[in-house]
Amino acid sequence: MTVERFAAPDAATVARVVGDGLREGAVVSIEAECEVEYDGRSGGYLGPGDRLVVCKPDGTLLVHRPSGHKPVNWMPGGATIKVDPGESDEDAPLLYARRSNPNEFLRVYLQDVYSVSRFDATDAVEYQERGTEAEMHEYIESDPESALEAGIRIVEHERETQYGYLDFFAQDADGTPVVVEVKRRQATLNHFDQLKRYMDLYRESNPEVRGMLVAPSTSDRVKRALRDNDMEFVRLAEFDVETREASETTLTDFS
Amino acid sequence: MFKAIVSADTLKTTLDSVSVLVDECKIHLEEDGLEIRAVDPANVGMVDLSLSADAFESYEADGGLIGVNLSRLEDIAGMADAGQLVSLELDEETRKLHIQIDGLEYTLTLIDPDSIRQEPDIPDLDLAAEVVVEGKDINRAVKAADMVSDHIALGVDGSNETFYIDAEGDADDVHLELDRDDLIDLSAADAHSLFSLDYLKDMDKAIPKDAEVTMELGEEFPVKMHFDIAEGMGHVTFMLAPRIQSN
Repeated sequence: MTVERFAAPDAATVARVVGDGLREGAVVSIEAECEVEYDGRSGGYLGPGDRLVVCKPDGTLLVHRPSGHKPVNWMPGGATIKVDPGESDEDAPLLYARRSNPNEFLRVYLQDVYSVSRFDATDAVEYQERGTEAEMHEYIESDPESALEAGIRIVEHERETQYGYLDFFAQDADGTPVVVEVKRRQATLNHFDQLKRYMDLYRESNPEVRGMLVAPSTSDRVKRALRDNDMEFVRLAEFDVETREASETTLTDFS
Repeated sequence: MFKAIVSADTLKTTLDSVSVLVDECKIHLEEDGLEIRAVDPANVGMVDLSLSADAFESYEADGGLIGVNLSRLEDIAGMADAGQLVSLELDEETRKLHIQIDGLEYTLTLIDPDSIRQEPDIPDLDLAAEVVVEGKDINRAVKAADMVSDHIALGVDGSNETFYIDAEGDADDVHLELDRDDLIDLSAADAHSLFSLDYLKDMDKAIPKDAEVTMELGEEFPVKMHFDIAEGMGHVTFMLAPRIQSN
């Protein structure tokens, strides 16, 4: 069941749904009258009122008031979320999130829980910001020889494969097929993996097939991975972003 | 079954190494000692710890697995003075751990191991460079970097045979270099990776200042740090995922 809702749940049920849900990768939301206390770099308190509390399996916690688009308080991914059902039926269950880098504590005292829902959501698609990724595709399609390499010709845009849609299927000056994957932001190992899946598929019937990962930038590690697997990186400097931000990796990126 | 007596110091050092990353963990009570493996919720920092039965005053276990609220256990261990002994006994029926410190008796309710985050797989990495350095030098590097930035770069210069740290702030920079003479050992190869200073500071807290820490580094790879605790009868490995800096 994708969504399971419990009306007027007792404290034990709230604790169970949140605990099981988050552990099993589901999003849990709670509609309740609650009080919120925050302790971290600063501190804050919000008195009793009706709010929507959203808990995600990566540790994100959001407390939304009935108006405004931003949560009144939140905890970013990486926090540990727990529910303490309390000693007796009279106690309000306490939903809390804590984080240690930096040290932060968000406490939501659930005075009256109207409903708790468990949402077993699957969402693997990459968000494509409209406008810019489309612009990159248009740029490549309108002048592939300037964007990619001399003599290359686009055969199909968004060709369907068993692994999903690949961005471009092209042919180089020698008539060799080329698989082209385009990324709006810095290309990561995950993008390399994606291209490699397509490559393995095509190389089964044609070992000559070339693979190209096209992005405004990438790390040396990804470039090395591409080189080691006979694939190429094409830098689309025209779409480079100004900021020199450090992006996060996780240990699973290296397993 | 599990019954053991251990010095408060050893227990606190052991728990510290894990609690810098997680609030609860699973503990394997093997016949030859304890084992703990845990990764933080963001999957960025990992610890792998083993404490041999020899590190204990007395130790008996037959391969059980318990789930522990580390913060609570640390609070209890904190009640002991440096020289004191802590006695631990598992009550399997009630799933409680009985802890005795000099006449004070505590009962810690254990957590169902199944409700604790899964133990991580330790990535099998072949890292190019290896540096053996004293815990206090890591502490110094972290403190210096903390003055200017949220991130710290750790690196090895293969040709110059030096280990260095770099931290760049908005206005100021910090650079620290240690050559073969300053280090306990060095296996030089080019390496450079950037890390979140918050995580490294936390791990540094758990590294004894006089410990010999073996640090394995690569190019934009996680860093692996291993060191002994409990006079060589315990071993801790930390692994921290890097931050990738776009060029």
